[in-house]
Amino acid sequence: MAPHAAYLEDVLLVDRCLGGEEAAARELFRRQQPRIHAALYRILGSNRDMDDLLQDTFIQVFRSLGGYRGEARLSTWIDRIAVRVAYRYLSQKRAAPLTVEWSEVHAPAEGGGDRRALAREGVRRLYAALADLPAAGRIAFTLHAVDGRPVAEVATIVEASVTATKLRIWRARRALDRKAARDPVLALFLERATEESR
Amino acid sequence: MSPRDPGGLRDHVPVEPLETELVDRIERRVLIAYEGVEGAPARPGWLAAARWLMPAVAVAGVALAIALNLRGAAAPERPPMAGDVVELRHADGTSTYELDGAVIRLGDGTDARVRRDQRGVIVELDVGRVDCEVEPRPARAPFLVRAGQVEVVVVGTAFGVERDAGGAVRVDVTRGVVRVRDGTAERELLAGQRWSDGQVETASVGRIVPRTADPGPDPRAAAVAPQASSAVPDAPVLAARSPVRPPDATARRAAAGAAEDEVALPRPSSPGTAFADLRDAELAAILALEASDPLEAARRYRAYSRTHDGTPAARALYSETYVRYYRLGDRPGALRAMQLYERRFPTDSRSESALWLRVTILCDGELDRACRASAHTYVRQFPTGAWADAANRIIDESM
Repeated sequence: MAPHAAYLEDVLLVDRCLGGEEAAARELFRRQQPRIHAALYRILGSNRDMDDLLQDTFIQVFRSLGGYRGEARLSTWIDRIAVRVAYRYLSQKRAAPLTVEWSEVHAPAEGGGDRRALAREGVRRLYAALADLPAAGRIAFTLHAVDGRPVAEVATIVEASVTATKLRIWRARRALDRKAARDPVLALFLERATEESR
Repeated sequence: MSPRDPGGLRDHVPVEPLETELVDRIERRVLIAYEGVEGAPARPGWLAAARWLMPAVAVAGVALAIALNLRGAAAPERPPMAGDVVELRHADGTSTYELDGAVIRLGDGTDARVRRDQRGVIVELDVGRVDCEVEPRPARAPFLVRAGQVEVVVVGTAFGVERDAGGAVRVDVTRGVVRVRDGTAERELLAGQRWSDGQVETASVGRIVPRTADPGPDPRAAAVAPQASSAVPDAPVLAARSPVRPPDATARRAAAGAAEDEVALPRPSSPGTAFADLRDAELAAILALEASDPLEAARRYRAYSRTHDGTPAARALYSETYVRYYRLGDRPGALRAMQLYERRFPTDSRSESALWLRVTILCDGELDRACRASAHTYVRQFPTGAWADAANRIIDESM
């Protein structure tokens, strides 16, 4: 869809929502929900509070809809809200950090089933490692490295300068490197990801 | 070592799907919250009318209950509101209306009205489509949808009724059971069935693997401890990459042994010993009946759950699900019992065994989205649970 057409569609949809059309509110939810769920998942990992977070995000979206000025794409505007919800969640969760015993686990051997098991275990360890990062750094890193957004877009979503965003991503990456140096499973997982993304 | 490119890890972090029912629930809650937001757009006129109708219904109910009690009669749960009619007219888009444990959605250009009388809550559909989601109503007034001379009677279910300008009526049941009356003829519709002009069609739903041939050893005789990743001999078999397996394949499979592309799922815990803890003679009697007459046992479990509350009722519904699935091979029936259990006991239904029983039923056949989502839900709740290995296998197989 051409950018202008997409922008117009956003504005019209918001107008219909603000005009009290429930079908429009439903359309907005259905259109944005899979994307927002994926973004929240990539920021937070497997999470039993995911449904509450998704619900919070959309309640915030509908509450704030009157403030949407059309200065950015509706999706970007909603992403900002989702990121704020994730940030608040991570800040509150910080009191109970996740602990993982690295030393007793060895990298699994090669093979189809083991490869999948490694992938799953690698994801688990990635998010266990990310749990130790500051919320802002984790969000910037996951939006960039996991959700695949360019730094400039991440900066817009997290409402920070490009330089500050780059710094957060770099720090998160360095912290992950340090974790991986002590954790062979995480190291192997990241190494494979790097190889396959080339 | 870390990926430098944006999205370098994207393909390595697959997003766990959310269950469709959960997404629907979130959507409903969000839309309800949206309507409650200060400054949110005004509701349509009929909804505004409904706002005052509900307190009025409550007040009238209390008054009637007092009046009947004074006369020594048993007070009905539903207040008769003869004459109270709310017009539901919606020319554009769709609208949602909530009343007395039912969610009614109106389609485009639908004209309908809702009334309460001695028969219960009645939705009269002139033209268009109404989709209803009705909670189980053991203590509530009956819920009916009337479209011309066709009448749909609901127990606790989700369904849609459509009536075109020519008066032709169609009923689709997505969950539960409804009875359709057309003049003197009456038909019972199950989930996945459609009624149209007196004819019933069955939508293509997942196939059923009968288990009646060999239900295997009684799991209640065995230890109730979860059976980690070791499959019991007669465990349900999951056709990992062969989505449709004809019913008679079960016998062939039993003779030839499970094919290589099939994954045996361990059984969830039997609720048997829970009855011993409850010291409930009635439940114990139903449990004893299972071996000789599982169908009657399933019916009695349901009847028991209607007349009891709390843990005993939850155990009865869990047992009904278990018996229908493992002893009767009645997958749709087991799913309906499980849905009822989840709705009535949302906290209990998140227990490990219940979640795994659900995975087992949903994954009996195609490794579809519902199966995968249920496995993800289990792993999310119980990452190191007794059946986590099996759930992860399902997730891996379906990736």
